[in-house]
Amino acid sequence: MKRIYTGILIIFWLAPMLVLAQKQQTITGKVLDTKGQPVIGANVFVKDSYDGTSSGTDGSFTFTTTATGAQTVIASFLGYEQQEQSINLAAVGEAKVYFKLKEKLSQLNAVTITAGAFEAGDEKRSTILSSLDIATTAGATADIYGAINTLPGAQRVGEEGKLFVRGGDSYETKTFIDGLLVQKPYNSSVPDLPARGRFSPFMFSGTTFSSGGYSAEYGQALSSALMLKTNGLPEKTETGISIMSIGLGASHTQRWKNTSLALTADYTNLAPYVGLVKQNIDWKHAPESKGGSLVLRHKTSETGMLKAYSSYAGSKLALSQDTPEGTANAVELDNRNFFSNLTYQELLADKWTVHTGISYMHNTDNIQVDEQDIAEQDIAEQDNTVQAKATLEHQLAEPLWIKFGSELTLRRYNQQYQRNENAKSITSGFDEALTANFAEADWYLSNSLVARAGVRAEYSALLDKANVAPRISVAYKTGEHGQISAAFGQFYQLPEAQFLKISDNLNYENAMHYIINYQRQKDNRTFRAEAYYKKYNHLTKYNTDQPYLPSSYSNSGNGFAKGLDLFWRDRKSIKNGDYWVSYSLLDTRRNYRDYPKQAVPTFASKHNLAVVYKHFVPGLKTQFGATYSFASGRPYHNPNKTGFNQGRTPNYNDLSFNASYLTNILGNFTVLYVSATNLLGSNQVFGYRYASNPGETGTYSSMQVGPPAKRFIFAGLFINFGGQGIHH
Amino acid sequence: MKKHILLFSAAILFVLNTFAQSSSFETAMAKNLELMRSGKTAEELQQAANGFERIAAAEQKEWLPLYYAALTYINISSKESDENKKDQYLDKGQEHLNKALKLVPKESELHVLQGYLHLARINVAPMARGMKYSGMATEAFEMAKSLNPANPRVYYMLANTKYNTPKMFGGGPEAARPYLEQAKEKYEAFKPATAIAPNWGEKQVLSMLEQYR
Repeated sequence: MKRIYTGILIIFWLAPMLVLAQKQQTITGKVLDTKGQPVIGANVFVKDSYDGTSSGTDGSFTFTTTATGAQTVIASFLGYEQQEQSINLAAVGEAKVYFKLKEKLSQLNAVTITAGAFEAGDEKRSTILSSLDIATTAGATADIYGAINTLPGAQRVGEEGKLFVRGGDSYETKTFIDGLLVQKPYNSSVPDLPARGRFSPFMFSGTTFSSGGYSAEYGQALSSALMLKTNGLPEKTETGISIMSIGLGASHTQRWKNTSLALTADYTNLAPYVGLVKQNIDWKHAPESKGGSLVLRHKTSETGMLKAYSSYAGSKLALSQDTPEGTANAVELDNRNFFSNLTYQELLADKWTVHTGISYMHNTDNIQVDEQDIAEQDIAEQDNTVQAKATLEHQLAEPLWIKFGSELTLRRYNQQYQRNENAKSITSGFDEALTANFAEADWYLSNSLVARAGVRAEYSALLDKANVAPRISVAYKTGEHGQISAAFGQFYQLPEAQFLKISDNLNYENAMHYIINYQRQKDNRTFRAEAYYKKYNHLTKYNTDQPYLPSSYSNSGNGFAKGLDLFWRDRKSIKNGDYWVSYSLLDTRRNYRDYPKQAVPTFASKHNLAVVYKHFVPGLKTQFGATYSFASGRPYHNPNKTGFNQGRTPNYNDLSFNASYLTNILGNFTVLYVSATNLLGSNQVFGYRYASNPGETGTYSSMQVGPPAKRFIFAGLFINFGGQGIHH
Repeated sequence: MKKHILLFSAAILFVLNTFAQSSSFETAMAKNLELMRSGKTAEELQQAANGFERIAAAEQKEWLPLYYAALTYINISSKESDENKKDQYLDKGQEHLNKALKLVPKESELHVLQGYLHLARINVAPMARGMKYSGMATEAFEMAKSLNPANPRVYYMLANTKYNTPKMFGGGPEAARPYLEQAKEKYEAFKPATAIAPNWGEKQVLSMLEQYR
C-alpha cells in the first residue's frame, strides 16, 4: 500500500516534468512567393500554440514544437494572403512544410490607372501634388487653375486664365466638386481680362486633373476633367481673418463631435491697388466683389458623411477698352453667382457604397458695352443649372469592383441682347434636360495588372439625340516602381450655350482619345511620360455673316491634337527643397466656329514648359517659391496677309516668385504671404486684335493684347485664432 | 498521515500546474519583449512582432500581445523609408490595435497607443498630414487621460507632441518643458501591474529633460 502511494506521489511530482521533457518535433521548410522568391520575415507557426518562428533571408525556417497529431501550420506575411497546411506530427520525427504565398490584392500595392490622370490628394500616400502644393505654387496666386497650369498638358493662355488642355478649347474642360458638375467654375470676366477660379484651394483635400481618358462617371467634357474632393470634418474650432492688399476676409469654423459649421465672408476691391501700381488698363471701376459661404459637415454614422456647401458672390468691374480702330469702349460687368452643393455618402451593408448628390448654380451676368458715339449695347445672361446624381459602388468579388449610376442635369439659359437704347431687346435661350447613365468595372487580374471598362450613355432632350461612349483603360506594373498605362475613350459634349441659344438643330461634339503613359515613382521622385492622339468630330461651325440664323450653325467641324507630355518631380535631392518640371509638345489643328479651314487654334502653342521650385528655410521660418513658365508663340489671324491664323506671337516668358513667412502674433498662428508675377518684366503678348475694316491706306490697323499690368504684386496677412497649437 | 501528505502534495501539484500554464504565457511574452527591446533593425523587430502575433492568435482573450504587436509595427514603420511600406506597417498595427480595443475598449494604454500610431502617420507625409493626424492624436491622448489620469505615457506623449510642434503653432522645447516635468512625476508614481504590462517612456522623458540643464 505504502509503495503504491509513493508511486502515485512520484508520478504526480514528475507529471509536469514529463510534459516538459515531452519529445519535441522539428518542423523545417521554406516560404516562397508565387514567383519563387524567398519571403523574408514571414511568421510560421503551429496553429493555437506559441510554437513558431520567422523565416530567414532565404525564406527557410526551423522550429520545434511539442504539439503532436494532426496540426495546422500557418505562414503569414504583410501584403500576402495567409496560408495554412495540415501535417501529421505523430508520423514523423521531422516534418517539412513548404509555402508558396500569394500576394494579397490590395488597393495600396496594386497598380492604378494613371493614363491621363494626375492625382493630388492628402490621404493617398504617393500623390503627385497635394492641396498645399497647389496653394503655394508661385505664379498661381493661390488659384487652383493657375497651379494646374504648371502641369503637363495644360496650355498657358494669359488673356483667359482658364484651363486649355491638349489642344482643346477652355469649354472642353469641366470642373466637378464631389462628383457634381460646376457650370461656372471661373469668375465672370470680359474679353482679354483673365479669369480666376471661384473656389479656394483650401476647400479641397483631393484634386485629380485628368488630361484625357477619364472614367465613364464624368461626361460633357471633350478634353479634360478636374475633379475636386472637398474636405471632411475640420479638426477644430477656429477663427481666421485675412488682410490683403486687395481686400479683407473672415472665417469661423465651429466643430462639434460629429458636426461642423463654417462661415466665411470676404470683400475684395482692387481700387487701392490699381491706384498704386501702373496698369495697362484704364479702370473705371476696379474689380470689386463681395461674397460669403456656408459649409456644413455632418458625420451621420461611422461611415456616413453629409456635406453641404453654399456660396454667394457678387462682383462688379468697369473699364475703358481701346479698340484697334483707335476708339475706346466703356465696358461694364455685373455678376451674381449662387452655388450650392449637397452630397451624402454611406457604406451600405456588405461592400456596397452609395454616393448621392444634388447641386444648383445660378449665375447672372450683365454686360454693358458703350461704343463711343455709336451705341450702348446691353447683354444680360441668366444661367441656372441643377444636377442630381446617384452612384453605387460594389465589390463584386475580391478582384472585381463595379460602379454604376445615373445623373440628371437641368439647365435653363437665357440671354437678352439690346443693340442700342432704341433697339428692341432680343431674347434667346434654351431649356435642356440631359440624362446620363454609366457603368464601369475595375478588374484586378493581379496586383500588377488592372483593366477598366466603362460605358456612358446620354440623352439630351434639347437635341433629342442620344450618345453612347465606351471607355477602356489598362495599367500594368513593370516593376516595383514603374508602370505603363493605356487608355481609349469616346467623349461627347453639347455645343456651347452661345450656339444652343440660337439653334437646337445640332449634334454632340465628339472627341476620341488614345493615350499611352509610363510612370516611375521612387523615393519621392516621379517621372511621367505620356503620348496621346485626340481626334475631334462634329465641332460646331457657324457662318459669321448671319450669326442669328439657326441655319448658319452646323456640326461640320473637325480636328486633331497629338503630342507628348513629360513630368519630373523631385522632393528628395535637395534638402527642404522640392521642384517639378513639366514639358508639353503639342501639334494640333482644327476647323471650328468661324474658321475657313483647318488651322492651329489661337490658344495653342507648340511648346510649353514650367519649372516650379519651392524651398523651405527653417531658420527664417519661410517658404520661398519660384515658377518659370515658357510657351512658344501662339497663332493669330492677320488680315493684312494671305492665309488664316498665319501670324505667331513672340514667345511667352514669366518668372514668378512667392514667399510665406510663418509666425505668430500674440500666440495666434499667422502667415505673411507675398507674391509677384513677371519679375523680369518680360513683354508678354497674348495676341493681336485687328480692326474689322481696313483703314484709308488699305491695311487693317491692329493692337496688342497683353496682361492687365506688367506685374501683379500681392501681399496678405492670414491670422488664425483659437487653434489649439498642435500642428506639426 | 501519509494520506494527508498525499492529498497535500496533490493540491500543491494542481496549483503548480495551473501556475506553469499561465506562466508560459508570461514567459513567452517576456521573451518577445526582450526581442522587441533589443531589436535594432526592421528584421529583428519583425521577429518580435511575429512572436506577439503568434501569442495573440493562441490567446484570443489577451489584449497585451495585440498591444505589443501594434507597438512593434509602429517601431518597424519608423525604420522603413518607403512611404507606402511605412503606411502598410501602420495599417497592420492599427489592425491589431482595433482587435485589442474590442477586447478592452476602456484600457487607457490602448488609447495612448492609438495616439502614438496617429503621430507615426504624420511622418509619412508631414506637410499634408500634420494638421489632421495631430488633432486625432491629441483626441486619443485626452481619451486615455480621462480613462486613467495616472497613466504616465499620456503625459509623455502630450509632451512629445508639444515638443515637436513648431514654435509658431505654440509648441517647441520651452512649451514642452512643464509637460515633461509632469510626465516625470507621473512616472515616479507609476508601478506596472505585472512584469509584462506596458512600462515604457520614462527613459525618454528623462533624457529629454536632460537638455534643459
